[in-house]
Amino acid sequence: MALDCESLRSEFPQLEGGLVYLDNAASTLKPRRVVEAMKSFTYRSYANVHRGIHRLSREASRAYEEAHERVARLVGGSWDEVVFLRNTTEAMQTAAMLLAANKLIGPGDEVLVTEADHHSTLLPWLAAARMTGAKLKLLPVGPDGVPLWSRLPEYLSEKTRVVAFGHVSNVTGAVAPVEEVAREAHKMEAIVVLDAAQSVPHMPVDFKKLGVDLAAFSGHKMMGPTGIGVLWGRRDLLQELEPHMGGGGTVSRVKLEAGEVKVEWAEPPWRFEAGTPPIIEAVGLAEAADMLREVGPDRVAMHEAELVGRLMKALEPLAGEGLLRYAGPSEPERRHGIVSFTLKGMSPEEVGLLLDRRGIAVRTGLHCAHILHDRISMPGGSVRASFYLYNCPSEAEALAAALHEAAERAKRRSSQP
Amino acid sequence: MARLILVTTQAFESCRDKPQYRLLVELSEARRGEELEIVGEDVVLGFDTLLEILEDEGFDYEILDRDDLLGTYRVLARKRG
Repeated sequence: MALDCESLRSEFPQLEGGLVYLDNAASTLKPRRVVEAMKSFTYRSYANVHRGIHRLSREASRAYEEAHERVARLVGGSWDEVVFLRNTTEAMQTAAMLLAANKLIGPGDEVLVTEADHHSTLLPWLAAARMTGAKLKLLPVGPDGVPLWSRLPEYLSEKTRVVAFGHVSNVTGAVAPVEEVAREAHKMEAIVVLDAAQSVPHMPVDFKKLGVDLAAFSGHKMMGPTGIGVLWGRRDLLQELEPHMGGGGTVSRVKLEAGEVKVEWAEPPWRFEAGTPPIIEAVGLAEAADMLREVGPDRVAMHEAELVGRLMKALEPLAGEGLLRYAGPSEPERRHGIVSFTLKGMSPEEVGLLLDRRGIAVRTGLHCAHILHDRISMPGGSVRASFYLYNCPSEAEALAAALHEAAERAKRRSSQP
Repeated sequence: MARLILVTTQAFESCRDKPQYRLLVELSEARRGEELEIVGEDVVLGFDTLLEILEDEGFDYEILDRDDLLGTYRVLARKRG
């Protein structure tokens, strides 16, 4: 059964005024039930977790632990494979620092990312490579900005320790062949790390089935609150790793023996959640994960595919005339939920500003993917429209109509003497 | 004296600090009677779009300089009221 976007919209008060919100790749709007869950927990059950014997602390601890379970149900695996951190960036940074601190990357090793990756993937692995004396390699992209996965074997070697990449590009919307990449990388015994920020909210994702070892995603991009993200890790790998960040909650016992500090780390995921964690946010994220599972990630995926197809169909005349250029594949079926582009004769920011005046919110700029934009000859950035479950076909049409108007304006401008 | 706002390619200092964004913030925060001198380039923000924004946001304006060929402009805007 197709997703009923009209009825879902009523869950999102921000849409009541007719806003066309197409900036979902940056952050999604929050449904009432997520806000209500956080509010109710805050007013009735909030206390610090794992540290108190009192009733409130027990209630809060139970809710916090259950949140791991509820999020795990969305992405496969068990609750103890879900580590709550601040966001995708921090989760990816944690993955990089964990592997570096545990000497799973060392001098002369290689870490592979792609030219299409978000800075949240590129920069943590660059830092880890610099810190350990490893070499960072980048799989190039083709003219459409999609990594040349067919060349992957050339970039892998027995020196490759890590392969990190995005599941769905935050610029082109292109979907990576994760299972194949993981298979090839594992042949070299490399650890596979997935940036799932743009996939978990939008399609069915099972990290175990995909064959990845570590993965990162954010709560705020899937209807949850800001301030919470997830580092998912294979249980046996997490068990092997010592945390790079110590603190409250990470240990089962600390002793002084013969003048030396001995540390017994807590079991995963607790050893990786240093200090007081994002407790209220975890409750909100769990509620968002439940809602997403109830709606059905497969239905969300189909719905977004329809919206992308509809938008790109309506933009065909502009693309055909050379007035609009896509960042990424020109075939809608090769991208997921995201359509980025430039208009001839108008800066991306001006396009964004004109759309805003029509009540349409999009993102403009380089989308934290500078190398990708340089590679596809869009050094000034692009305009990005990104859909979610509460967007309806009429919104794709409204965007197309506004872009036709903007293109006309640019055309008029260029024809003036 | 009018406050100077640059809407030029040179005004990009980082990917976060967009001149178009800064212009919108300055316009929204301007007080009645306050004057802003806007120096811009079409490649960053089209002249026609700028004038529309000024009208919609409640500014009177005077075009101090406009070069269609170079696509540059200088506009003095005054918040009404």
